[in-house]
Amino acid sequence: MFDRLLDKAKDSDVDKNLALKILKGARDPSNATRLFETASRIRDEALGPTILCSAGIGDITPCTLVPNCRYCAIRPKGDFGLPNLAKTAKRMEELGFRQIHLVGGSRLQGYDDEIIAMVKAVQAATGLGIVVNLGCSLSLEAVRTLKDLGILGITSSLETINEDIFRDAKPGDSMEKKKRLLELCEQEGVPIRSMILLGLGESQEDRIRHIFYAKRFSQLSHLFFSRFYPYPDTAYRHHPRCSPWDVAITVAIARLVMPNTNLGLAAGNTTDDIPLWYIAGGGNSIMGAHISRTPVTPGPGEQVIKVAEDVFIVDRMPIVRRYLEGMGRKIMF
Amino acid sequence: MFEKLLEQAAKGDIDEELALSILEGAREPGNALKLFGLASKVRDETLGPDLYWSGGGIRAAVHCKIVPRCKYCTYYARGDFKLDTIVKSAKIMEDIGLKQIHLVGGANLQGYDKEVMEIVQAIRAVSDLGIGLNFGCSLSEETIHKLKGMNVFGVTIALETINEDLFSEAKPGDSLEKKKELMDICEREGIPIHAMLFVGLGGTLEDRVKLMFYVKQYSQLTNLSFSRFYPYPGTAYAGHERCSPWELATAVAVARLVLPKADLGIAAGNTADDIPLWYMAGGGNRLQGVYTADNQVVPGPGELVTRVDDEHVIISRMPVVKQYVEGMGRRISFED
Repeated sequence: MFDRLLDKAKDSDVDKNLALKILKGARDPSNATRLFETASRIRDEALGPTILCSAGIGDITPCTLVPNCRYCAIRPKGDFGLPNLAKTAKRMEELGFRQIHLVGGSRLQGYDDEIIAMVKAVQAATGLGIVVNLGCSLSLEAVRTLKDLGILGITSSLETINEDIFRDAKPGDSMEKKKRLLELCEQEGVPIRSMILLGLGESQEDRIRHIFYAKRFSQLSHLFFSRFYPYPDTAYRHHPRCSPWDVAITVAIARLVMPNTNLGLAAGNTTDDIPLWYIAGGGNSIMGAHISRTPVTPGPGEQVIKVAEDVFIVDRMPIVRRYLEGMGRKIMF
Repeated sequence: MFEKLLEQAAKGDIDEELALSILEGAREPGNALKLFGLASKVRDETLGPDLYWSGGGIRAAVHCKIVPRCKYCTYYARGDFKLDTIVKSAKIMEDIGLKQIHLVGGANLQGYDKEVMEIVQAIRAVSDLGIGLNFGCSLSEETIHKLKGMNVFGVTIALETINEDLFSEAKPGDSLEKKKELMDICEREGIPIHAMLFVGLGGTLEDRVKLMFYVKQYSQLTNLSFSRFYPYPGTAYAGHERCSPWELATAVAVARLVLPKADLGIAAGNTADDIPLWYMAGGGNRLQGVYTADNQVVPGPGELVTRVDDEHVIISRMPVVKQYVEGMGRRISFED
């Protein structure tokens, strides 16, 4: 029965109904194994086996959402400063990275001037490709300017397509504005990156609806999957931790629905999640470094590079490289 | 090519050479998925698909006297348990619903016969819990013989590695020879053997396969658990590489072909997040849900804390393990 669903998925476009049936069946590991084989084959044919590593600079703008997202333990201060930002980007370029993500807190009223200044500062100091993720804090004019500046993409993370869950989890945020930003990028021909936060309370139907919502954008290049973690001191601290299995089977379905899209791992996942994600059809890009604003002890296979008094690069490329090479895969920047 | 190797293994005709070829080929994810499919089928046919709670772990029951200490280990830093704490912990675990407990370490090459016997007798006085013992090679044949009649369901002998040079390097104060002798004693006495393989300590894929076949010779072998190396700060092996879950999963899958009926568990260095890949690779059918810890420990998501005394608590990760297992369409229950 499940094999027939997979055959159907291989032979024709996957619709919502078929995707949902496969997702429900994939809960069973014996079905999932076959799904993963199909999804991995599609990934290899569409994207090849090599994995692209990029780096992220977070905390570049303060988060002004009020009330704040009820699961979020991060309140970006956003006091980075352009010189430090340029210096950090330069150091990442020296580490070998060719692409960076500039990630900050949101402001519903917009961060247009700030992000344009930051992109220009990074471009003046480096030859890095840049991706921007500031929630829905960008206007049409800013999107156009960023496109003219040659950025690689803009991220707008819906997290969930379920409006009730969005309102409960993100009472100070605006799904409408996030969708609007996706539409602006589509209209302006700017590559889109989006995110799904798995385990926020959504149903399997919600996950499928979300994947198909993202698929409608011809500019969609990346879809990332966060894995819910109940951080202490947040309103959602008693919410269940999301299983890596939920991420894996959802990634595998997304691979059937959007063969050419990069399906990545985002917040709540660790290096140890890489093997299961990859065999489920995930890829082909992964984050190899991020920053910390406070001194941090490196984890196994990580190195910490101090850039300024309050900026530390956490380079996890040694362990990411080893894990992926241990699966016979090559990485590139 | 790889499928032919699996076809041969599926006939139940697997030797060291074939197992090594499969393990080498399983590095490639496309091959591994086929291997995982076969290994899971073997597990489901021999043990069934559902899972059971293994015994609650009472750790650091006695002080570790291995000198020099194992170069990767932080265990030595743990304090001794008083007998009263051990008994209280066992009772709490029984109240949780567990049918078994594991008393774990440390070790003493000169023997912990008297101490272990005292602990077992103290628990026996208040509870019928099955008891598993893991004290390195600290037990004599005479003690093993006596324990057999005391509802001791197994003795854990963690070889960790079959590579003698690697063992001597990582565990300079321990004795591979004595561990092997203890396995021989358990085999003679008819007491179930629980062995352990430490993946990522170093060595080769061949070493892993050799260990699987070494333990396979024992008719009393019931369990082989897999630890995943973590380089703890402050140890001599702090700069050693963290072992990938992939290394563990592929080793478990090959072990399932070699030891179809053995319980293949996950031990130190693994977390609840490792469960899906381990299970998919043919692991099972027991998971630990409860263990003792010092009272400074911060519970993770879905974990519950029960106070034992001023210094010790019991952590139950049963809620998150249950959630993960049921999310894969499997049940986890206490054994009858």
